[in-house]
Amino acid sequence: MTALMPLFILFGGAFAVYIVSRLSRSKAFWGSLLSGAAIIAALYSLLRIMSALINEQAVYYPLNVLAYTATLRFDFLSVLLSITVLILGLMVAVFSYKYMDEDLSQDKYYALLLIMIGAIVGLSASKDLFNIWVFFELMCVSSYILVSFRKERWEPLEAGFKYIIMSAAGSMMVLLGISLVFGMTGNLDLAAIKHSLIAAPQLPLIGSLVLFICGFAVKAAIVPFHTWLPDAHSEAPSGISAMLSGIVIEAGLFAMIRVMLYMTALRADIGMVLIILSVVTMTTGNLMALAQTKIKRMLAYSSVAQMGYILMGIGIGFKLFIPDGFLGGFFHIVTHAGMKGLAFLAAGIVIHYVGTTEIAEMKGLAKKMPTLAFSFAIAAFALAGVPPLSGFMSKWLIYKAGIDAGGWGFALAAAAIFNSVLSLGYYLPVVNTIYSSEVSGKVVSARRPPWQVMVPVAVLTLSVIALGVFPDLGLGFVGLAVKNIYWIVGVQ
Amino acid sequence: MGVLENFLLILLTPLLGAAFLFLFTGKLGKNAVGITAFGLAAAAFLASLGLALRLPVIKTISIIAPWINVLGVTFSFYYDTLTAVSILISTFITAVALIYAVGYFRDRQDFNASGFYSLIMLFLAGIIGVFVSSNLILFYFFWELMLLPTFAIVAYFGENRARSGVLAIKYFIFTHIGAVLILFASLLIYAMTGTADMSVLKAVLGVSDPFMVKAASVMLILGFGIKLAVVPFHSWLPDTYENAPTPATVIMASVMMNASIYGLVRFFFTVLPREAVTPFILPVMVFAVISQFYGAILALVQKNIKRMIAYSSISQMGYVLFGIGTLTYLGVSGAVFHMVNHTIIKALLFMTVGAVYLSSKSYDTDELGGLTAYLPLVALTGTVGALAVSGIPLFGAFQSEWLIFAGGFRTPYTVLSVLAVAGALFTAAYALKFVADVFFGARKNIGSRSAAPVPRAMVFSMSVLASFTLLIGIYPWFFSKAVHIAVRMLGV
Repeated sequence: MTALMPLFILFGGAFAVYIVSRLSRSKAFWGSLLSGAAIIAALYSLLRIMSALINEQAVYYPLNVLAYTATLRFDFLSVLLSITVLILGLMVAVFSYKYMDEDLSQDKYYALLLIMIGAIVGLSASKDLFNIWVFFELMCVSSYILVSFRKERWEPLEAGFKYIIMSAAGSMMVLLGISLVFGMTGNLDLAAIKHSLIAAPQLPLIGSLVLFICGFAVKAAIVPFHTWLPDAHSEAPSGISAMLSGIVIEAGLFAMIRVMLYMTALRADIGMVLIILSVVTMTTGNLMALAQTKIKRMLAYSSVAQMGYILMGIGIGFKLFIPDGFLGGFFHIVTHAGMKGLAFLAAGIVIHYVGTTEIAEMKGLAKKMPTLAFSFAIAAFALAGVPPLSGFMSKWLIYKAGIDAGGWGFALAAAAIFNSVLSLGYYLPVVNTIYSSEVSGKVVSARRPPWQVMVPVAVLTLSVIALGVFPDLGLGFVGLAVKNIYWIVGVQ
Repeated sequence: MGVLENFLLILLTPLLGAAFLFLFTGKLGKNAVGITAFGLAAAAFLASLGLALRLPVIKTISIIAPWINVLGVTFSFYYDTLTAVSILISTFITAVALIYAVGYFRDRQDFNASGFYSLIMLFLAGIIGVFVSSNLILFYFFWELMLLPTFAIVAYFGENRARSGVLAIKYFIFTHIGAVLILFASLLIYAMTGTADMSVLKAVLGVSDPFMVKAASVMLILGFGIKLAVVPFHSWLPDTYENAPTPATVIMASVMMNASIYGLVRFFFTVLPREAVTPFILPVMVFAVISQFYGAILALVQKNIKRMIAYSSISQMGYVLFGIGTLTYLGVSGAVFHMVNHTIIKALLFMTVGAVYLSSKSYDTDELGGLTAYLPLVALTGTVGALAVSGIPLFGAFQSEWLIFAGGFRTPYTVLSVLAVAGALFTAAYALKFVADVFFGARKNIGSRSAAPVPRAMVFSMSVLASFTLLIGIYPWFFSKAVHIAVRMLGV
């Protein structure tokens, strides 16, 4: 039962939040409070699971799916992703209390947020293709609605529609891949599939792999499957943008990695594919971000670029089993959740209280809102991989993995480092604009943001600095997760 | 006070001081903030002096504390004579420059004092960290910590309001590329040897793949070369120095250069084996001589006196690089000694430029002239600075230039050494032109305007530096002794 506790809390919380805030008059207050409480309770139960795992007790819950055995089993990888999503989700729940107060149907907002978080926690713990697909779809469906949440305007609807079409195509590819594997092996449990796939015919196996990679890549916004992302992430409410960029696309990648980890026979080839995709993804993302004039579109393209970094670390890990590759990739998931979450929340405050999305109209923001400007600058420098901030710590592990790989790895590390410098080309002008000595008219007439939205921004700023100066705070967990990968693959 | 406490005092005073100034002095007057900053820098200087005085007994201090356990990267520091010399001169000049800054900003309206002084303190923390870290990753960490505040100062306190953003980005991209090259080399060394501890690397690298060690050493030379503004990579320097507010220019031009000189000496003699350095000595010396001539000739043709002194930095760094490039005991001692002298002299010259500007509101040699009658003390100290930079006996730089040339003649490259000596003539030319254009002759176009007196704090700090350079020139024994011990301990 322990394994189901977080899911019970989150999904049960979603119902409770909806009913209570539907019936009450102050929807935002109860929605935010209850969803925050549910997330904290889920976090607590996850910490219990974590301590059980450290004591080497398996935490799982057997399920019967259409007479095939499946289990929901937590391991260190799941705990890493779940804790990250819960902490970011808590920040977003607190942030949305005042931020969303002018929106309609906030009761649904918090319920959907909890469902999305629950789906990611479930996805992280799924060890069979059936559950992975179910939770994956649940996450997608809840995020479609959240992207188009401000349905009174046209752009969110268009972005949501584009997102559904592309994501559904991706999901179908995943489903087709699952049916191919199921047909070959007659099994849905990944551990069992791992054994039967060793003797499987090559061609259908490669076919299913291609389908998996393409399908999950849509969700993970890997170039060339990224085109939905800038629209969806810039049109969603900012709290949701933070969730989407900070953890949802990473969850898509996580699902891909989870499945790929069990395809041991083709591991090195998968690694090569991921590495090639990673270089393309980070370069495209950065080049596109350079051309943006709207802050959230710029951040959205930067998310594409950051996915490239994560992919590069993990790709190197797959190809050569260099632990630093996995370590860097997974740590970048954690740090990226913090810094991109921070950037989107800060950008959201600017959009909401200053009333502009254009970077050029944010001149002199530091004079009006010094704390916010400082936080955004911290996020921008962290995203560009400048020490002593968290983004540097995860990025240098990825560079190091490239250099450890030797030979072509140098070129990879050089490409990643070059991309970091390139990304300064769009972060620095934004920071300069914010700290400009001129003050634009929009900023002069800006409203003062309430302290409730500043709390999550301050917490995330501190976390970005703390993880940069004391990376061991996060790397400890990530190290356990990487050990876990080694157990799954069976390589020492 | 134990050694450890004393060491922590040096490192943490500016770091915590920066946080204190940033958080708690927003309401104070700018003079009070400036004096607090001066007190912090002076405390760091005194603490460093305290530790330096123990060095004859304890020789070298090394301190190791855990940092990133997963990777075996530690907080490791050492403190030997070279470190002591670098820290002492840097904290001393910073403290004096802060007195100057209090005077310089006396009449400035709309000046964010707590922001400016906390950035200076953060910079000081970064540069002290560079001097003491004995771990490659930690070195890079502090290196960027040093660059970030200077970027912010150039961008947000720049004199050229319209263009300071662009110029700051140019500065940051240039120096960040340099920093990233250092990072790449560090990671390469780390990947090859499995250790990032600078004190043991020399032995380990001696038995590593020579090609890779040479590649790392090329990247390090390029990385530090960009920061030293060696000629093909110099274009950021005049723009940055011209645009930064003069007290910050004083600190950047004098103190920040020490970090690159220190880094080059440290990597050449403590980290890299001799075989990895020798193949690149000839190009290093050639570019050093080119920088020397190029900087001096361009300084000669400048009409803007701030740019003139900025170009003089390029030329002076040529001397230092030439000295390091000789790899001889005399040359390296000369380079380290010149670092000390250049710090004082360049600070003095930029202070003079700032004082001239404050009184006459012009940098243009066509408008200035005849200031001796109005500002006799400034004229005196400025002339001392100009004579010192041209390497005339009785002034500090004579000793060090002489050592550098003596080192040059110990190498087989006699022609280069002759050229280097000849370059000193151009130095004398622009230095004398500076004095003649600014202090002597008739009041030119602004003859009708009388020169305003400059604040006493500025004159005081300039007098301190002028007497210091005279002291070193007349009685160099104490300083050259420290430098010689430092270089001998490096085992040149």
